[in-house]
Amino acid sequence: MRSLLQTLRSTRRQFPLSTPVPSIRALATASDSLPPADAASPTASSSTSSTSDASTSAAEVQMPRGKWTPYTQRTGVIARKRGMTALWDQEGRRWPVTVLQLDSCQVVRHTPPIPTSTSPLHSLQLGCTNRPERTTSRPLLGHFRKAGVPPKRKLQEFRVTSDAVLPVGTELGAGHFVPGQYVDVTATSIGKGFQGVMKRHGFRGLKATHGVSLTHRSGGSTGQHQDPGRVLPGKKMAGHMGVVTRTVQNLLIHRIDSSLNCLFVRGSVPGSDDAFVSVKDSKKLVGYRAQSSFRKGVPEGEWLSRGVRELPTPAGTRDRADKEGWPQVVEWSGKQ
Amino acid sequence: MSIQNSIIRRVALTVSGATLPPAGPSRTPAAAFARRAASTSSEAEASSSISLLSQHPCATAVYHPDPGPCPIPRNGSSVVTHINTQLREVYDPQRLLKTLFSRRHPFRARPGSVISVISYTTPARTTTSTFSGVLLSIRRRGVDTSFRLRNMVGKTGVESDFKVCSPMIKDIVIVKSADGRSGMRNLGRAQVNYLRERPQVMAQIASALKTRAGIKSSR
Repeated sequence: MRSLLQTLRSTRRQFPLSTPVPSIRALATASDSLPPADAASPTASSSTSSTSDASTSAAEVQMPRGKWTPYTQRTGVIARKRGMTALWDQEGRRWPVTVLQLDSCQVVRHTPPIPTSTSPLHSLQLGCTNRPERTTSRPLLGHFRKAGVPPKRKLQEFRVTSDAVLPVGTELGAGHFVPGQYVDVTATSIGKGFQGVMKRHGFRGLKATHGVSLTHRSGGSTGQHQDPGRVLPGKKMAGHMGVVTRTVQNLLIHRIDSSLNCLFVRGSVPGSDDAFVSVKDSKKLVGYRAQSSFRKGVPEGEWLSRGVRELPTPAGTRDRADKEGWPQVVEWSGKQ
Repeated sequence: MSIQNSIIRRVALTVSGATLPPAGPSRTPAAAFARRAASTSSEAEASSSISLLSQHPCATAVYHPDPGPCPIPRNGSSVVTHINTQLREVYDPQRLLKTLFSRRHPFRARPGSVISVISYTTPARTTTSTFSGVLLSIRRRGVDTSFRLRNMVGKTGVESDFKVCSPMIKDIVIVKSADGRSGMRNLGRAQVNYLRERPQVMAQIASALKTRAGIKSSR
């Protein structure tokens, strides 16, 4: 009987990384020989199998459940940026952290991949922060009623692999992320209004003295001469700044607090306090790093760095954390 | 009549058919505080009913810090206010933020007073070093409160910032308080940065500190 590791390695050798779909289909043929999922896996608490079986198509592959692989794409999470504070670690170093709180983050819709599409990824729509029924529009009320969840203020979709699909209504908790892992945080940046060229694009402006008249902070020349004889599109000029979606990559999860449902993330995050942010496993330092480690033949618990053995798959739901008795407040100890 | 019909229709829509489910066992932050307060108070019963894992299942390089006592959140206070209250209990057991670095306490550190900070030099916290100087300013930010000291080391002016709640600080001693009674007059300002341009004052403070036979920690 081949282990999961042997199967994944053989598919990697047969198919290049540029074609992920054939490799997953190749895994399907070997999936019969894979060992069954653990009894302690989250399938008992969240009825993943029944919902996914109903919604999967014929070409779908049942990847083994409860086991994180470098090719697993887990769902992200919608959180509220609550503010910043500082934490000191065991060695006495101070870390400025941003507090991100998961406020009733539930799965609202699951869309399996379209049979004609080449991508095998499922789509999970998550909702964050309950809102009163009377302020929710009737179309949205119907949408939430169909899902059986309270109306939410913010909806967002995340693409996941089949082994990370969750049933509708599952609530995600802070235990979805592990202290020591890296995340990418996406949010709408703070609005700065109409801003000049020095703030907006980092231009150096002109001299403060030596005869410069009335144009100390301007952009200077806007182009060449007769050729091209016009200002090229995209010329950096003054204009509206801020209120755009920005992603900050590779932020370390320093601490999680499951009772307050908060993530303490090192560094700063775009947006103002109480804004909605989306937090996902880092594409580079979780995704690519683990895949690279796996290809090099690194043993299973060492694919990720910073002492993180694996990530809760399909997700770190609140039910799972309660039933399996995960510790409430966990902080990264700063050792490899 | 039409208004009554529309009201009846609206009521019917909400009452009939699939009503929206309640939010379940309350997961609001206030409920989380209540649960946490209950769990810390009755920890014995909680541990017997749920077998808490001693280690996080997915990580090896983690530890489980004591989050501190669970205060009751005030109406309108945010999660960060609550967290900072907890962190103050953990990082500031001596309550320096309420006494030495408060705005109104009778024995607060006033700008212009001479202060000595004894801090650990390594994470192992075996050796200490002392920096003394005149207090230039206090930056009050709750857990992040810091203060700046200035001293003359030889002929060079040296300024140093210290975080009040840092675990690397062993002790903060007020050598001479600038309250107008024990020889140092009240400078009447929150920030006495003008002392940077007063070399005579700095020289006096430096020589006074040198003649003292070492700053003894109060602990």
